Amino acid sequence: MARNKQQTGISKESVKIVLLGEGRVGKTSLLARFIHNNFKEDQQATIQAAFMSRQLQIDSQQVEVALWDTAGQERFHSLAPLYYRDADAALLVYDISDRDTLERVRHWVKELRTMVGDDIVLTIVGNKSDLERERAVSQEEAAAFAQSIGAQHVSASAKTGQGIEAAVSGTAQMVLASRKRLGGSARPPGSTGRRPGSIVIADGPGTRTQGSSCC
Amino acid sequence: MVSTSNRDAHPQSHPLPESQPNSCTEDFEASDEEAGCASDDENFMDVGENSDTEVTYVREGVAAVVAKNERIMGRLSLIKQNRVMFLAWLPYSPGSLLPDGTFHTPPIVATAPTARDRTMYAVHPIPLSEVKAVRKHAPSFGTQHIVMVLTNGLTLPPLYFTAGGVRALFSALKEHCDLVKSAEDPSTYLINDTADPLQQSLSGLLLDGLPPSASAAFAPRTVASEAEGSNVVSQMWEGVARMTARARESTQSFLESSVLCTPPTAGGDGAALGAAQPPLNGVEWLAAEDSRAAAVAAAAADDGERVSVGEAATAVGAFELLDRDMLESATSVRNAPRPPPMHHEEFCSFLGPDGRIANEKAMRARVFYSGCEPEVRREVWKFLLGLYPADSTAAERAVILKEKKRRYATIKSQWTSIGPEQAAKWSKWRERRSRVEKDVRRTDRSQPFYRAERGRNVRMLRAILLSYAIYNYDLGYVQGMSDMVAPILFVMHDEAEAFWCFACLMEKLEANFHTDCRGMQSQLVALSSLMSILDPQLTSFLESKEATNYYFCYRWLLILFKREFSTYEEVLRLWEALWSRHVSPHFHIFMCAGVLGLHRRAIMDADLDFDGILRYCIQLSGKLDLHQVLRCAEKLALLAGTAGQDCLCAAGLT
Repeated sequence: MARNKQQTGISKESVKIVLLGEGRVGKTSLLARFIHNNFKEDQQATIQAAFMSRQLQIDSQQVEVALWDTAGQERFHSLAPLYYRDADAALLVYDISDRDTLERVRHWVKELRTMVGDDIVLTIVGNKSDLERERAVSQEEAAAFAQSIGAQHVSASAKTGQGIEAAVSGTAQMVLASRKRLGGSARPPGSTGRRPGSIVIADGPGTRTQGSSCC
Repeated sequence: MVSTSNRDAHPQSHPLPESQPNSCTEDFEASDEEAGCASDDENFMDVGENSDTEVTYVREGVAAVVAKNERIMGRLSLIKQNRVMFLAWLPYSPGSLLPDGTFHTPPIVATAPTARDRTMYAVHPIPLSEVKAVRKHAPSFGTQHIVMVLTNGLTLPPLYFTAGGVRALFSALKEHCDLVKSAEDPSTYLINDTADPLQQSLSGLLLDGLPPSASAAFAPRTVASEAEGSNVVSQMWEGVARMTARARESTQSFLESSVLCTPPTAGGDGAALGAAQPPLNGVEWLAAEDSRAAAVAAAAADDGERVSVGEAATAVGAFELLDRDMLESATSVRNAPRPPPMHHEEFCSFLGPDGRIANEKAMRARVFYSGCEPEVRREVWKFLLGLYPADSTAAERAVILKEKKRRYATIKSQWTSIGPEQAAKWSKWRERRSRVEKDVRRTDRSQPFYRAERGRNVRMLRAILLSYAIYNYDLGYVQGMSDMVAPILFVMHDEAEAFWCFACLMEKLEANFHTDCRGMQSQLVALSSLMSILDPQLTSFLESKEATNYYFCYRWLLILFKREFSTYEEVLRLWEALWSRHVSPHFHIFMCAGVLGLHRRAIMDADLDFDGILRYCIQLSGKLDLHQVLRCAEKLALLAGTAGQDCLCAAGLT
């Protein structure tokens, strides 16, 4: 997103990151760990969305990271464009103990590339790395997939706290780098060919073209 | 003999260990049917709204005489709630509430006139401010009795104190209101009638807006008050300045709100305006550009904690432009004091001799305005949700319940009988089951009722959701459903009953959960057009932000504000108000309008964009004042009137 002018007059970067992924992969828990440094086994399911933000220091620069947490269940898929339409980056989260959740990440990648374009920075996060014994998706496979789509891959655990800082700050860093590349300053809104507000949810699953199946 | 019972009739006798064996699909059915446990029941009883309610006087054996030698015995009581006194006389019920929350009705002698008349004679709590006078009859022979005259002129049937206690009633009355012996008739006492002209005029005003009859059960009424209304505002504010501390206390709540909705005055500008313009109606009314925005603001500000004189004056100006009928109905909203929640005895007084609800509308209104005590919630909700037809007799309900329990057992066996080898060949079911299980473990776990992860209540929740997932296989399980079931199960304390109540609810909400979002879409459209007539200013602000899709209200609409209130007490109170369908069957949409109305200033002042509004709305969770929002929504529903109904209809809501 665009940068904010602070009262001090110093411009401050802000980065909007949306979390996407199947229900119960741990999106909200990752955020809770990142923002509050806590973990709840019985974190309630997200209905609609949640929002959190935190200041990060990246390359001696203050960056405000705004994180949007979304409802994971396929049935709420049609709401997702509201959250990702002007996001700078997406954390695509899967559960390393559940193969199907990686499949869902693949759908998200396709959808984001189609709907938002190539500018959105993608990071694939394999959550629940503490459940190593139940691992159903190998590191190598996920990393290879990430590489094939030009995304980074991070292994994380909301429970232990592993990997989350790296995932978020790494993603924010890439957003800043890509901004620099694109013109040395904050990207003016709409410069990526997205049409904010143009995504209409009225006709149901507008994202069905992605071939995503319903539960 | 009609009685209903089920296996959890004595919940206390089944203490539940905190931890239960692992809840795999296969080991479920044996204990599932039982509901409730000792610790749960403590929580169950904790939920009530009566923290501010105090019974200040009770007299047993007070009778209404309906015919010669034909008495209805009952209990007279004075109840104080939030500094407002209510008087009630409720006949003793022939039925009784069983520990499982269902009703037991003994054999009825249908010919006894008292049985028929019980529901008619009941005096549901009326504010004392509505009682004008009490006349005491103390004959040398015979029973002492009193006759009450209400401010609207209605005289209530005499109440006979078969066990004495008239004197105690008068001392109790003296303690809580101004009681003056009439100069003309020493046995008549005037209530709230003081020599102080200021207070007289104030109490006169207060009385005028109140619902006129006890049996009206607090439905908003419009009362024209031209005679009283002259210079109301100036009088009022002068009054406030001069008022004594005591008078202030008794009239404060009235003053705080009344100024905003002062009826057009007889000789004042309001009347002149009204004469110059024919009464506006419907959409014409809505064409008065500025007034509409102010209406929302006023409705919102009315409920706000601090209302400045300046704001109030502006709002009065706006309200004077409004259609008179709407204005008056909106006016009555703030005037009616809310009686305490409906308790068991009072609910019984709504039931006729065969257990039919004698006046369903009044009962629903009662629920809308005050809610239920936890003890009757279980039974009342079955009516509200449609599990019991309103005109069903107690005998019919017992049959319905029995049949439903049998049906539930059948539905449940459809999934409990899926063995591992069958499940292995049925990925769709496995996936669905896993979704339910994942969500059940994280539904309302902060509530004591669901604290034990492998406890009985969590397992019942799971069983209900899985049963529903197979009962309505086309819809399946969607996130949000567990949010709806959890409080229902908490109230029902019975798996089968909770299942059917949820199934009834889903008949109405199902479209919300469909893949095509059509249910949500039509509600959002309805909200959008409603807002455009109620608050054009906020609407055009939202237009400028491309935010008129109202998606920031999504969660509110999807699960009926469940996540916006953190205590079950609030959620239950809210839901029964919604399900009473008293003001509107789509009252939750007016709730959305109400919340937006209450926060419109903050949203516009901060110049929030869509993301900002969404953030703002999400973060309102746990910060809303339920009663404020309910009252605000009620006002908006009344202000919107038929135009509002048209909005809902046009969006496909019936």
